[in-house]
Amino acid sequence: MILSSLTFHEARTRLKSNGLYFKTGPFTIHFNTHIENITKNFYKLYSENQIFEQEVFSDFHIKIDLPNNFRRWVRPQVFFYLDNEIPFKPLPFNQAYPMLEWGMNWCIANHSHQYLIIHAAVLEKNNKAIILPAEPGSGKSTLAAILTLNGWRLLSDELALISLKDLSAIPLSRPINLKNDSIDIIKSMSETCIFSDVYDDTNKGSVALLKTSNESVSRADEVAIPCFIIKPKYINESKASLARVSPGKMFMHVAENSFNYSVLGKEGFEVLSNLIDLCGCFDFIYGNNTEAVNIMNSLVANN
Amino acid sequence: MNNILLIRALRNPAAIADFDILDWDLLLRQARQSNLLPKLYYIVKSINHHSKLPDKIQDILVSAKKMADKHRQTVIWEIDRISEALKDIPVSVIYLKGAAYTLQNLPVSDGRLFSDIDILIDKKLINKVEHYLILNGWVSVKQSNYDQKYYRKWMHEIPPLKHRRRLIVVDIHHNILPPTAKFKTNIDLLIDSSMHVNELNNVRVFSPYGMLIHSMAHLFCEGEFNNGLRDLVDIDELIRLFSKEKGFWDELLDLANKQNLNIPLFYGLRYSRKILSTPVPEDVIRKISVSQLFRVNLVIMDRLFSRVFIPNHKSCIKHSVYLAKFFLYIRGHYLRMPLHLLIPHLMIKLFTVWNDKESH
Amino acid sequence: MSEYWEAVAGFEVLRKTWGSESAIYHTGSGDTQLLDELGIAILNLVQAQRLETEEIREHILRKHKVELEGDSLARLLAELNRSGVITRVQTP
Repeated sequence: MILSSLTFHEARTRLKSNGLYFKTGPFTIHFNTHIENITKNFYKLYSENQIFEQEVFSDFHIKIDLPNNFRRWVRPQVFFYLDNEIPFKPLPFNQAYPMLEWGMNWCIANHSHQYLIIHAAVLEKNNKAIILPAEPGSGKSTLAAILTLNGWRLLSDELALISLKDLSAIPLSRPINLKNDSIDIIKSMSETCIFSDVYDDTNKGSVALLKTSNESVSRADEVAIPCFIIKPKYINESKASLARVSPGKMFMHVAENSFNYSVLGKEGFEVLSNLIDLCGCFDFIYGNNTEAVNIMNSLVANN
Repeated sequence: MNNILLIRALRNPAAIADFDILDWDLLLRQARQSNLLPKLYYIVKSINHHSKLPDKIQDILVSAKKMADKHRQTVIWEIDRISEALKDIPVSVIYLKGAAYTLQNLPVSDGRLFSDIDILIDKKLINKVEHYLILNGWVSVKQSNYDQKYYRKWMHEIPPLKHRRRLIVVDIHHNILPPTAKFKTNIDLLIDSSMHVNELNNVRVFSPYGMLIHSMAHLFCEGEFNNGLRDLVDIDELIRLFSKEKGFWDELLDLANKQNLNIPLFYGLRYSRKILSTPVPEDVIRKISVSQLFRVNLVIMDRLFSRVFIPNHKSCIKHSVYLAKFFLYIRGHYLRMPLHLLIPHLMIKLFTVWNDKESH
Repeated sequence: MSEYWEAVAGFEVLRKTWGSESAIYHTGSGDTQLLDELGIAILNLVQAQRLETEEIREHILRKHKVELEGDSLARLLAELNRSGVITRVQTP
């Protein structure tokens, strides 16, 4: 059963009462909220996600709500609860929906050390997965969105989950977090793409979430084998270039962009070494979307 | 019969075989909030139950265990760095609590999480040790003049130091309780009976009896019980390990008596037995020399302590828990300091909190 | 009084080499570093025996025909020291 098999009203009632149990990638999340804007956007962006009729075992029990005190009325702030703890500071009321996405990322990055977790997008085509690790602002999410709109399967936008057992990339297909100019770039590419509201003035600027493809969600159980690690950089109008990076330098780059490389200790070092051995490592500069798609397509072409 | 899942699992690991998937959901949450999730990994292992659990539960336990492994790595390295910083001065460093268990690789250190490292130094050498640590990259955590003076005058430790780059906090004690505490201990005796772990670097720990008495004194003279259940689990595991030794109980009672710590010993044995089914013979508890009045008061103390030795999870916390915590907080302060010193201290603390709020 | 460098005892240092570059992982500190061939050569020297900075410089010049600038060697040694791979010892 998927979320869209409930009416909006039913989904809203569940979120307000006993909570809604839904699946995202390998995780089951029990989610509660009274905040209308979250409900509206969640219903729109997670419509294809599997849900459960009854109470089920959940990896995370989360709630986003206003506290029960006078702050409700003056400059209201929303709180993220993981079970009965408040892991980070509240945010202004108008950022409630992005807080759901960031909060889920926080839960996974801090509690799921059964994976090597890299701050990276992961996409797959022809059974070959590419990992795009990068600092914020490098155009990683933009490239992920462009490829998703061009037939690639999105495995992840923010958190690459790498199995410690066999190095496969585990799908965690969630909405893509787009910032500032990228929002309009992607909107102009496709009329059918579905967006959340636009949230201005977050600490990352304006933010909007793009719904991922239905295929990406429905194939959430199909892992993919990483073949390339690509460090993307968007430079406006620049001609595309794909240049090899030494494995050692890519190792350091991925380690620095991993949430739990250091938690995993010796095992982290060994798993990341093996992952680097498995993949071709590249720097990728792009300035034109069509050109970027072509180059990525040819990289994973079957020949 | 206690029906809190985590406590049932701690009392009798075999009980988890009967838990259904939703029991596990709640058990993992109770354990996570009590800083005992990695411990649960080892409890499951002790009855060879891992392979019988669904993958997703195994994943969560394995993830928690990896975090505890990281804590162990961090502690071992920090101890090495402290030894390195102090290598030029002849001083014995006695590691306390978690760091001591980890250094000796005791089963109680399996899956234990840390917030800081506790060491004990001969009071005469404490300034020198502080000086050398500061030379090697540690900085004081407490900046205010009042805190600095308060620690140095009234506490059994100097203001904690934190390493600038590694950000690990080390608490440097010269005694196990404040000099003003109601129980007057004999720290020299404890130091004399400490043991070498690593001859080369003068790394030491208390004797098994010393470790146990210290963990009880610490828990039952404290005012805060946020890690209460975790600390009681430490006591339980230490007893289970060491009580196999011949003459263990007599030695333990003897040391508590010499340290004037009969009351914490009594509580430690009573509540670890009551709550975690620790194997403590009834006649041992009867033999501890405490007053008749104290035994009468137990009715009240039982009610208070039974409300704080619970998982730190909303499924277990009722209103009476807050009240019990409040009484025990006051009691903790009272045990550490006589009222004529305590009240001015609390006033100043309250005043600085107000001031900070005003200025923000 | 002279100052030597020696390997920190008791902790394993893992290596993974790709061509001329090696990532090293210190199992004590948990720090990771990327070293080039010269960096690895210097690490090998110090792991084999206790050496003064100048002795390291001479070894590298003799065996690898590379003259290390004062700064670059000091920087590398300081970095290895910070992550706990090597340590400074003073003898009277």
